[in-house]
Amino acid sequence: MRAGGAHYALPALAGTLLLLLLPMLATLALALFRFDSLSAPQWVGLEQLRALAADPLYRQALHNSLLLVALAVPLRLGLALLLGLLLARREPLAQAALAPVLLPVVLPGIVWALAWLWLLSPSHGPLATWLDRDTTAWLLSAPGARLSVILVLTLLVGELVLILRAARRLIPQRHYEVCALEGASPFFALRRVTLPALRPVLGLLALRDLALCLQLSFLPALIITKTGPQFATLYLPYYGWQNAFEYLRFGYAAAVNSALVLLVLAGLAGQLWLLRRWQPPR
Amino acid sequence: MAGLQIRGLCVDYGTRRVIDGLDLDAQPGAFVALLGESGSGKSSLLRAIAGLQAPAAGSVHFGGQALDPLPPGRREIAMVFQDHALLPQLDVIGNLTLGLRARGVGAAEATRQATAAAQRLGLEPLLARRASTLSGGEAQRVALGRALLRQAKLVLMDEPLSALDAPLRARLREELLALHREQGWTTLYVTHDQAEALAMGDQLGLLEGGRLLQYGPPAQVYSRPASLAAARFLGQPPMAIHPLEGEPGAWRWLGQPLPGTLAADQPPGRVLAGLRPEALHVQGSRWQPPRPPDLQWQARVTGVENAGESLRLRLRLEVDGQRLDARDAPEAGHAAGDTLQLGAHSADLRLFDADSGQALEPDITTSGAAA
Repeated sequence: MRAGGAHYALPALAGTLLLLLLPMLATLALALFRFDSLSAPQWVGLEQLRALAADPLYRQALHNSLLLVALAVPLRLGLALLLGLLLARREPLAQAALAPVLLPVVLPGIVWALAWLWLLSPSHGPLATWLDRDTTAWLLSAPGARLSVILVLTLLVGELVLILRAARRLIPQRHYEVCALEGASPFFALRRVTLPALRPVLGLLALRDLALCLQLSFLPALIITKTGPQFATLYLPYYGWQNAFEYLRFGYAAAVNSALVLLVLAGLAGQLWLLRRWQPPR
Repeated sequence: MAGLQIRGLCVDYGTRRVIDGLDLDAQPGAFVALLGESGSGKSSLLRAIAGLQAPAAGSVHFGGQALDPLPPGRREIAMVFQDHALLPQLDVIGNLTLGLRARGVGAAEATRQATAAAQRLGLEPLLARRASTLSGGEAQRVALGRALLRQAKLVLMDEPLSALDAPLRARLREELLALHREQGWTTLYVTHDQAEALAMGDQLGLLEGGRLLQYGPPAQVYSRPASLAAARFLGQPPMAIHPLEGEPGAWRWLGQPLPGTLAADQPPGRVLAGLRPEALHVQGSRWQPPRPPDLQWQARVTGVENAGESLRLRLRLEVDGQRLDARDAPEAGHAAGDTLQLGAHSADLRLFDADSGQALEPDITTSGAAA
């Protein structure tokens, strides 16, 4: 950023400081206190952070969350890339298909979650009606519930599709013509032209999606699976919320969220390292 | 002929026809310059030959083989674009090897061939540079390297030098011609730069509205335009075109009597005559005419433009106020308001039919198809 233009960034910097950094620091500080919002906070130091390690539910939520991002982020990006490339074509069908892809994103999250609650319901949902009970029973199992949450998140990629579609359209057609003149296959053009050109956008979306997936997991866990069965879909954001607003353990919730922030930052650092190592193929 | 043969080529964009029944022949190893303004169909013609644009009609053959049924990659054509079309995220060696890798050449062999091409073009110091950091001249050299590595016999160049500054353009022009000769390419070179087209082409085609106005050796196209449109198209300042007055055997042009044998068989009111600015001489100039003038005028200078190598004079004839353009030596020191004696030779006049616009000279071919 040039020094002369720095003042243009001040509103955004002020917003980041007030709405993001200060609450984050307050959360970190709160993790050092026992606080139920009814009585005065009580200093406990690192005790609650140490307690996390011994908390089986926290470990379950951490495991579930890692599994979720490990599966959902690549699936979401892969699907968004596929749809973005297909819908970037200037054909009537591609234009028409954009609306259904975008629809889940413009719907309120609660509507999307309730729709899936009905679709996946083992007792009266259409899947259970169309398929026999034996087939739909998997929805009541831990892997089935986890896959359901991943499916719900994976289909929520309209915004990613829109961004990747726009980025694809910015790649000069001339580059594909050069490939055509050289007799390159479509896969060669995808690997040598499309993916390297989309790399900055894909990288940014991958970084963002790590945090976004955890954030988006909250509603499906609350509405569709109710964190079950046997806490198989209990994720860290939900566990933090539950401690704060159901059990009034605000200090412990702050400890959960602080650990979550550290986890996300570590994930972002890992992604950045991978992105820097990714060079376009020759 | 086993070179390039185009017959009746038509290209449409929607309902607009941009190439309209074009015929063109080029001998193997020829350098064909196609000159046209923006929108004349130059790029569309190259795209249709390369297979990047499906023609509405017509055929393209090269080396005796019909190219029309082949996809672009199997036509064995190299194409150089004005915007270089390098992949910005790749380095120079990556751009050079791109085509080889696409055609299944292994990485090591592709690098060896690309390095050899880079040596030929003086690109070695740039091999590790990203394409996005190259200057216009460097990028165009890399694009030429890519064409070289295509090992094609037919090379299409779409205004490759027009985005470069003048000295660099002149240097690359020489390199490009050297490469053309060395590789035995048949080159189709489109440009809107008249000087470039005249200097580079073995053959020159004038393209307007998707049709060839004239096709032939550049000197002939310039000195013997096939039509009024070709005469007006080529040359800056343009040819001065005025009607012949009087009657057969006693024609006058801009008030000056013409030899009786000139256009003696033409009816009155049907003939236009044109004179190139360089055929009009200022009497007393250091630049002597090749033969004594038989047409003479007195004219007043209305404007002078110093073009470095010459003075470009805008003149108004004293007798009837007609405007003419001429050139003189730069040190002549003419100024607006000066009165000059002008001379020209009637043999330098080009005659055209006023109705059809066609030249009244035999043996001028307009078609690009070989007779």
